Amino acid sequence: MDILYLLIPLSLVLVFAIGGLFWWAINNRQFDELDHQGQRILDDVDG
Amino acid sequence: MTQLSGVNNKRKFPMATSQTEDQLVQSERLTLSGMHCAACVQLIEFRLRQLPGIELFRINTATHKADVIWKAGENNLKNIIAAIIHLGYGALPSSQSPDEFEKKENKLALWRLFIAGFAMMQIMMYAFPAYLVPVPQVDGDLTPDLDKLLKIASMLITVPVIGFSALPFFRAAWRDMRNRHIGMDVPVSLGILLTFFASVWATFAGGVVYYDSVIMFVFLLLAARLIESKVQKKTSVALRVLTQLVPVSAQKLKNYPASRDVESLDATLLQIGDFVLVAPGEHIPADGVVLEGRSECDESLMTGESVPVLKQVGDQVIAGAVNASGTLIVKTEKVGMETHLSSLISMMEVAATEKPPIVLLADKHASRFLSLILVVAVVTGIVWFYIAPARALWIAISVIVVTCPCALSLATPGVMSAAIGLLAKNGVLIKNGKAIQSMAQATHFVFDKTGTLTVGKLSLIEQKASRHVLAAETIAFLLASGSTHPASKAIADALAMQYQSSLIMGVDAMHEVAGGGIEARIDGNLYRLGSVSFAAELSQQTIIVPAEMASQTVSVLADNAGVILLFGLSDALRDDAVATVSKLQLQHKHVMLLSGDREEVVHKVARECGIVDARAGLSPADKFDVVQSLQKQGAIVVVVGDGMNDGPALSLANVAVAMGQGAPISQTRSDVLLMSNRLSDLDFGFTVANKAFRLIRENLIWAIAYNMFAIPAATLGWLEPWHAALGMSLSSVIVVLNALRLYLLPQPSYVVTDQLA
Repeated sequence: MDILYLLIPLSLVLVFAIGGLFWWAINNRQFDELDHQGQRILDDVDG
Repeated sequence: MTQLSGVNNKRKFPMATSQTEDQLVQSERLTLSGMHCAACVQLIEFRLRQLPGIELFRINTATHKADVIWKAGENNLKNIIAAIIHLGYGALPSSQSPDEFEKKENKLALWRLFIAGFAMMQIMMYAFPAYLVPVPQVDGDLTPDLDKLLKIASMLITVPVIGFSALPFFRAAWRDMRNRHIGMDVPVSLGILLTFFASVWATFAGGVVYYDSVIMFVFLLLAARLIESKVQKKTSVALRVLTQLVPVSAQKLKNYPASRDVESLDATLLQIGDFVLVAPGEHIPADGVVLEGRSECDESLMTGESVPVLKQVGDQVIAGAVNASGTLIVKTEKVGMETHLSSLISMMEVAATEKPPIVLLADKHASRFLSLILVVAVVTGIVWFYIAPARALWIAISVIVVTCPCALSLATPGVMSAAIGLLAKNGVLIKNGKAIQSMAQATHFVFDKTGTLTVGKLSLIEQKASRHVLAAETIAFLLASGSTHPASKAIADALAMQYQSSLIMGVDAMHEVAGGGIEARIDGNLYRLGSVSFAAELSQQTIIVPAEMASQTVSVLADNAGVILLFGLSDALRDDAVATVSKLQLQHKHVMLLSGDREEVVHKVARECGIVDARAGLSPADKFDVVQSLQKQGAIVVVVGDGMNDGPALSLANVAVAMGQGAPISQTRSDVLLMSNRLSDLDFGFTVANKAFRLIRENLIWAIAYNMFAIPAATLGWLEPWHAALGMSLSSVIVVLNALRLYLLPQPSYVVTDQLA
């Protein structure tokens, strides 16, 4: 059970890392426009 | 090049500036409408990129906004918008500044909820073992060391929730404390902070921790508030739709009528008495009167009427209406915040913050109730300190946390603003928040006749030809359209369809005789249109009016050989008058007709509408007395009126309803304004008010019942802090969701029937 002394702090680090990553993604407009990007390949002109 | 200086808020895009340092670039964000699919997007993007000078054009499909950057020398905003409109879509410059702030707030609120939710999921991993094992007696699995590690991990997870997610509660509580007022946020904040710090202390000193309760509490409360603020936002969007109509730019004619040079300027800079040019497709920038041109204007956002209204020389136009077909020259009469539109918006914004009396009463007690709760908590804590010292703090916290005046603090504003927004969208403007309660409890409905149950202007009912004359209708139309008399207007409106423009007739020597009618020479013959005696003079023959036209206003078209056409005119009932009255009567409301008009006319209208209690020949003071005596008998009276003569009765009524086309005096005294002039909206208004009032009452009853049970249970020590947190926050969510039920009401859909009103 000693591994818990590593896993619990590790899980904490992960939680904060995931939260931080999500924060970064939103603030960098990764979720701003989900519909159009998939169709961009069909555009005649490079967008 | 026409400069739309008012709308070019120069927002630079970071990527565009570096490439184009040699030339001035301009940028703008456009709101697009009419886009339904990806093909639409591609079509617009493809077309726009072919225009000269376009640096960047990008559409955001989700928001229906487009960013455009162009070289100022090679193109202009007007061309760009024209190109989009040419494709069949709508485009308007969207003024960004007001919602930017709101968007940021909204984003932050979502983040707060997300952090709390994320922490709530995660903390169960650390809290879970402690629920399974009574910690001290351990057979090797959950050692005290491990237990402490889990508690510390829980604490670390809770820190962002306390420090970020729960901030709005602390801020509001701090504000309340500074104002020496105890609101809902005070016990909430106290509960959160006490539980957290007591748990921190227990983490290191040993004992039970409630980090998971704190997080759950914050999460559920944030969720309830987010829903509630969404509802309010929906209403403010309904109001914002009106404000977005407030035009941003105007084209002023500098030296009208000497020259037609236009100057573009910000609509807010217009002065009273300016002359403005309104091109087709543009918004009318200020209230005013048409000097030149003829066009149809879409006033639907003001009136709910979807058919454009014809505007000719001399007609009033309102700011925010869209000029649909022709170019108009308008002399401004009211500008900026003075316009009809602006004043309505501000009235409604005020109404949305007003509370009905039942809520005011509850609010007054809520503050006292909360102070009492704090005292009870302290007393309970002290008492329990002597019974079971270890539990005393937690029981006191439970008492604080479990109290829920949420029905007041959360759900009532929600119901109110949902109701006001729902009605505004359907052309019923609530100017006074108290009206919701009075409307729901109304017992008597008093209608005025002219302009309320009836259209309020003459219309052609009957037409009789007494001898055949070629193109008699066209002659009558030409004569009638030369006058502004109500009877002439009614005839001209009715005959406009039959007017044969192919017949070119020379109209000469047209003049109007006051109290008589109009005379003109058409193609060499002299014609008269007007009262019986006036028309008879021309031929020196007496004109006999048929008996069936006796109750109507009669207009006659005659030449020197005698009568050609007879027109019977009267003030027609509104299309929906009968249905509205019978619907109200079905709900056992007492419907009355009070009018200043002649006995026979009033009784005819009353008969047609099915109103039993009709009184004629009343002065404004008489109407006032009638309403007063009804109120003395305990009736809650709704007065529906439109004219000057209803003013006193309206100001006395419990709910004053005015028609949108009515006299300004009746509108300022009213609580409810029927913008659409549709009486059937009145019925919808009462349905919504009834439902809203019922929801408010349900929420109040729920809040009282919940507290009656929860507070004694908490003081007796039956509730753990997590019970209290769950109960309180779920209660908030229930109340908010209950308020949302208002949106389940079916909204009326309209078949547009008449253009009379």
